[in-house]
Amino acid sequence: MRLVAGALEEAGIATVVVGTMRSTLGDLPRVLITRHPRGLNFGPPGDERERAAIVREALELFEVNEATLRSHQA
Amino acid sequence: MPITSDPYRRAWAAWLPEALPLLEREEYKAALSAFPRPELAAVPFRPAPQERRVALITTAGAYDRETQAPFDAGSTIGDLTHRVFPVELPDERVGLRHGHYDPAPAEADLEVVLPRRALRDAGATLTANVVSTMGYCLDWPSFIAQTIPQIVAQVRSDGANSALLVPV
Repeated sequence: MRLVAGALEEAGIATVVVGTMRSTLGDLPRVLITRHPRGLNFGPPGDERERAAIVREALELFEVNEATLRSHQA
Repeated sequence: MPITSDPYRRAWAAWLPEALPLLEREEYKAALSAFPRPELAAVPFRPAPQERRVALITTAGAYDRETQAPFDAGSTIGDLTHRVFPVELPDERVGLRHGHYDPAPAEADLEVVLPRRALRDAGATLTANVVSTMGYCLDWPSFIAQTIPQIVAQVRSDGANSALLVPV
């Protein structure tokens, strides 16, 4: 995903990455790490409250003015 | 005489023969310990536009069950292809094929990897298509040369100026 995000940024497309594994996300401009197991980037199935919170945080990252790596607190 | 002048592809091709038996035995740590990585330029920070049209991109191995082939989850070196399907595709049409994570939670609730409804509920404007890859792909030279330019072109042609990426 680092490769795709880097290419998009290079093409002028702003990216936010919502991942569960910090090590693979490198030096990207806007990264949100959720502390959920792999395959549950937006929280457990059916947990709409948690999902909405992660989505809200992810969209807020588009507003930041500097490179940001943030951890979502469930 | 080398068959390619691309030094990264040559390095990858030199790594592959020793790695293949390890990959076939699913000894990923040993196989990937010497995996060659390309030199990547630093990604500069640029502010995002105010009026955002967001492309949704995932490595969850998502595809349209009715019109597209699933990803090749059984390949030793993964699958470098990508799928493009309408963002409005009903959940029951979206299949997941990956092989390197447990898809059961996402099959029960697709929003855990593809939060289309949640993004709309939060006021995001999504572009017309989802772009999906299978996160397990070791043919990086081909992925870089072929797949990534296609993904960027797709996102651009969909009119996106922003992208939300969901690596699984």
